[in-house]
Amino acid sequence: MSEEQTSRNFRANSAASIADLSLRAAMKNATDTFGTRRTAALEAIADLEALRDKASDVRMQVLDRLPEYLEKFTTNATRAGATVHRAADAQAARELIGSLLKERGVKMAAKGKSMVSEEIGLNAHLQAAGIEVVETDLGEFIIQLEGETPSHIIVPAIHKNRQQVGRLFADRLGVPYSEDPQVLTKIARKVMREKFLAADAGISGANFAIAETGSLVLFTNEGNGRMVTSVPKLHIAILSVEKVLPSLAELPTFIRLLPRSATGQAITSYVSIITGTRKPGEATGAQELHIVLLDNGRSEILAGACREMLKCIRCGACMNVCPVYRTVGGHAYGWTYPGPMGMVLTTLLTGMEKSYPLVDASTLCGACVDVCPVRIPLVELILKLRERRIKEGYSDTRERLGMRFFGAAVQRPEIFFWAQRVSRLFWPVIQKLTGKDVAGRLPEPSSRPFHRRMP
Amino acid sequence: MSREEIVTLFMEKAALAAAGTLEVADSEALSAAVPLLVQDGKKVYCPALTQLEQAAVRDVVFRVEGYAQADATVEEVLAGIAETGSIVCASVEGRAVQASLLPSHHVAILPTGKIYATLEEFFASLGTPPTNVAIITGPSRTADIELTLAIGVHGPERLDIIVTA
Repeated sequence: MSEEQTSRNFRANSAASIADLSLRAAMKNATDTFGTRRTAALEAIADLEALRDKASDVRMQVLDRLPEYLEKFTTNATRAGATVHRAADAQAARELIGSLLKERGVKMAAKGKSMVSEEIGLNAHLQAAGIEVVETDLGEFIIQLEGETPSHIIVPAIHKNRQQVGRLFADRLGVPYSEDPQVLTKIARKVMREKFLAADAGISGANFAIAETGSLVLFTNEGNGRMVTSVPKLHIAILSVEKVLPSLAELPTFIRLLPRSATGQAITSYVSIITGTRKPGEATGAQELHIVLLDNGRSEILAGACREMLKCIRCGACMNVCPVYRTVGGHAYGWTYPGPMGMVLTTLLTGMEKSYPLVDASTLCGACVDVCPVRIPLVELILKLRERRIKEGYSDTRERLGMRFFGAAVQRPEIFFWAQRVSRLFWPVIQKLTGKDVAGRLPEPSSRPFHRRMP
Repeated sequence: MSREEIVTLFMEKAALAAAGTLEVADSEALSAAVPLLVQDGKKVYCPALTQLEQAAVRDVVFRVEGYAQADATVEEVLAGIAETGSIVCASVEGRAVQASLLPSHHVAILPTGKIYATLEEFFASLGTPPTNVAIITGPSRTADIELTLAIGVHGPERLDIIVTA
């Protein structure tokens, strides 16, 4: 996936999404439902603002001393029997996981939902190496059958309606057509149960890594996350470096905020805490656990002006309320992470050259800031990136020229006056030249400027 | 919060998460309650490590040795959390945490003394965590198709919690 980034085509991608009426209906239904559920769930918290402050403080505390926390996590996870690896970039992580699996003769791996694995394009790499990867999260299973990528970080198949899923299952799995989600879910359970029991390895992500105990924490609803981390003998977990929390004592804050912000649940069906490998006398746990800590540009973000982006706990609340995301859907953003958090993170991780049009994917309305459980100042970050884009020279030439002309004119009243007259005279020509994106949004110059109306 | 209030809150929150809840007075009542929950010829797995577990399956006819072949698991759990209505299973005493995951029906026995009021109190009690800890709230669920709730994806379709003294 990382190789096929299409963020530069954001405008064209968006236009295509906007023309897709069934996609828009699905997006509206899903984001409205999420919004309502989230609001209702958070009302149950007595002092929500204090809880958000606390969550934000804990995340900043981790970022301020990240190397130290990572060291501590590594020491404690190793003591509990895990092998901890550091991967500098996507390629290093892919190759590491590929060779871990190959060396152990793994033919098939069952995989839990992991956005980091999407970020590094893990599935394609493993499949090219002859290892079958079975996605076991229902949403991921659906899009894997379809050969697509996720369009939402919490609900990967949010863009599909029940009829489309019913037809897909009938075509690919040879089952009778049904559009009842309950029936479709039972079909998926049956198909995947066989895969679980036959898999030689489990691959998962993690929501948090606990420095003090060396534990991984996973929030799941379906139970596949529990399967991939406890049924196969070999478990490989991949997560990005910033996902650390100091100790289990901080976990309740995030248990209260993450599921409520994500799906409107008071808690997910399962919160799994995995600490190392199976120990003598135990009947649960992988015999071999490898934890891959992915940097892939995070250290650079941490050292820069947009470091607060790394507080993100991937709840997806910002996308559900974003007027741009709600209209164009997740695929338009052209990479792993969509919505407000996605446009910022994508630009920071992949660089301006590959993603500069994304910086426009916001109305700056601030709805994302209002809902972010860890108080990431997304609007501020978007403005910083817009400045950076101009400094790095990725703005549109016509826009740059227009702004330069405007800047010169407003500083000299006589020029401004004449510019206004001239532009009124040639307004139809100007509209034609600049296209509907610019002139279509500007009011026509007035025949009697404001200062002339003043007595 | 008094013990009684904690138990009441636990029952309320567990029911909200779609778990079946039942309170029994003693081990005699427990022995009577479990066979009613696992009717219809369900194959039952029970580790039978504790007195409560032994009482729970005393009158259960169809028992199996391994959880992999079972339709239901009956087991005493590590803890309960009232704030969220959760039960906690862990890899202690040689227990297989997967037993609470693979069979389609999970029957959890929870002594009232093991219910903590809040998540903080539970984590404070945990100390160094064992290899696998699962905080379980209601049955397995998904909303991946049109955000419509469907129960029983990979884990149990049904969770019953029996609270006992």
